[in-house]
Amino acid sequence: MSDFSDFYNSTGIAGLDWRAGIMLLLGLGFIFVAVVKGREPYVLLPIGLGVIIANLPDTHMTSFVAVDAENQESGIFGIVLYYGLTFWDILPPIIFLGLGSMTDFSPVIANPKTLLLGAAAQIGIFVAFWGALLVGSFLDIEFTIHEAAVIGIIGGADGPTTIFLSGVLAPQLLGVTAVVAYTYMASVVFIQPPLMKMLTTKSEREIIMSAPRDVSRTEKLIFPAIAMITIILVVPGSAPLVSMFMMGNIFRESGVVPRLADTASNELLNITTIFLMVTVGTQLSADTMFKVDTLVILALGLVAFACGTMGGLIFAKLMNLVLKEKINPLIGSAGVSAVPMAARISHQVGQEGNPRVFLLAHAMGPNVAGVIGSAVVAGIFISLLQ
Amino acid sequence: MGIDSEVLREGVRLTVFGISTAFGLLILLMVMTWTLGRGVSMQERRAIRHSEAAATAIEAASREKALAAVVAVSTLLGSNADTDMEAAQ
Repeated sequence: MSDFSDFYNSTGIAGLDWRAGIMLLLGLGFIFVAVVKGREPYVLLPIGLGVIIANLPDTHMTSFVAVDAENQESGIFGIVLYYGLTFWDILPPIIFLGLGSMTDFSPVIANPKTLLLGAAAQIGIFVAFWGALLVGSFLDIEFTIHEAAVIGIIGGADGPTTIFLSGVLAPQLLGVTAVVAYTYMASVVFIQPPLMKMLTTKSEREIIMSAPRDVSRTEKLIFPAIAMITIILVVPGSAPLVSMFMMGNIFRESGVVPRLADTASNELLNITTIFLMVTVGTQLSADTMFKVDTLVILALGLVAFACGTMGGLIFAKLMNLVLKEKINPLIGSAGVSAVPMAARISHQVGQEGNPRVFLLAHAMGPNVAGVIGSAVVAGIFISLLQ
Repeated sequence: MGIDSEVLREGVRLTVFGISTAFGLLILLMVMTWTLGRGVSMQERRAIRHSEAAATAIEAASREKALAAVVAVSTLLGSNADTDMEAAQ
C-alpha cells in the first residue's frame, strides 16, 4: 500500500488542484478556438499548448534554476523565457524582422497623412496607463509605474511590442499582458465595429476614397531607411524593434537578397513564433491567473483597445474638417495596429453601407503606422523608465 | 490608497513625452515621405522628359539619315541614267 501511495504521490495527478484543472480547460479552449473556429491559430494554438504544459504538475519545463555553474535544473521554456524574453529579450525583435519583411509600406507612402491616424490611435495606451495608476484609488491593488506602462502598451494592439516591453519593464506580467493583447487582437471583430458605427454617421462611412497612387521602388526602398534613422535618433529605446522591422523591410524591397527576405518572413519567423508563443502560454499558470490583478489587466486592456479605436476614428473626423479631399473616418480605427485584422474590419464596415467603398488599401496605411507608433511609445517608456 | 505625487509627476512626464513624441515623429515622417514622393516624381518626370527628348533626337537623326540615303540613291540613279544616255548616244 505504501509503494502504491509513493507511486501515486510521484504522479502529476496527485499535484492537480481545481485551479490547474480550470487552466487546463482554458488551454484546451484556446486550442479549440484556434483549430475549430480558425481564429488567430498561429497565436492561440501554441499559447494553448503552453498553458497546458505550464499547468501540468511537476514537469519543471518552465523552471529556471541555476544550481551551480555546471549543473542547472532548468526546463526548456524556463530557458527560453529567461534568455529570449527577459535577460536578452531577443525574440520580439526577431519577430519584428519577419514582420518587416512581410510589410508593404506602399499605402503609407502613397498617403502619408495616414501616419497621423497611427499616432492618434496610441491614445488608448495612455488611457490604460492612467487607469492602471489610478486603479489603486478604488481597489486594494497597486501597479507600479513600470507595470502601468506595460498594461498601457496592450492598447498598442501589437503582440511583440507588448511582450518586448513586458520583458524589459515588468517580466512578472509577461504572460498575462501578452495573452490579453493577443486575445483582444483576435477579438477586434467584436470590439471595433460597434464603436465605429457609434462614432461615425452613415454618410461618413460612405465616403469613397480614390485609389492610392502607384509607389515607385525607389520610394519603397528609401522610406524604411529614413524612418529607421529618424525614429532611432529621436527614441533610441525603440531601436530593437524599429531597426529590425525596417531591416526586414529593406531586405524585401531591395530585391537583391531574396533568400534573406524569404528566411526572415518564413523559417525564422516561424521558429521564433513557436518558442515565443508557447513560452508566453507557459506563463499562464494558475498562480498568475487567479488574481484580481489579472482581471483588472483584462478590463484595462479592453479599455485601451476601445480608446485606441475611438482615438483613430475621432482624429480622422477632425482631419476631415481641414482636408479638401475627405478621408473615410473608418480607416482611423485601423491605427491600433492589429495588422491586418483592423484594416480588414474598416473595409468590411465600409462595405456594409456601400459596396462601392473599398477601404482595405487605405486602411493599411494607419495600420502599418500604428505598428510604428506603438513601437515609438514603447521606446519612450523604455528610455524614460529604465 | 490614492496616487503618490512622485508617481503622478512621472506619469504626467511619460504621457506628455509619449504623446508629443509619437505625434511629432509621425508628423516628421509624414513630411519626409511627402517630400520623398515629390522628389521621386519630379525625378521620374525629368527622366521621362529626357527619354522623350532622346527619342525625338534619335527619330530626327534617323529621318535625316533616311533622307540622305534617298538623296544619295537618287543622285546615283541620276548619274547612272546620264551615263546610259551618254552611252546610248
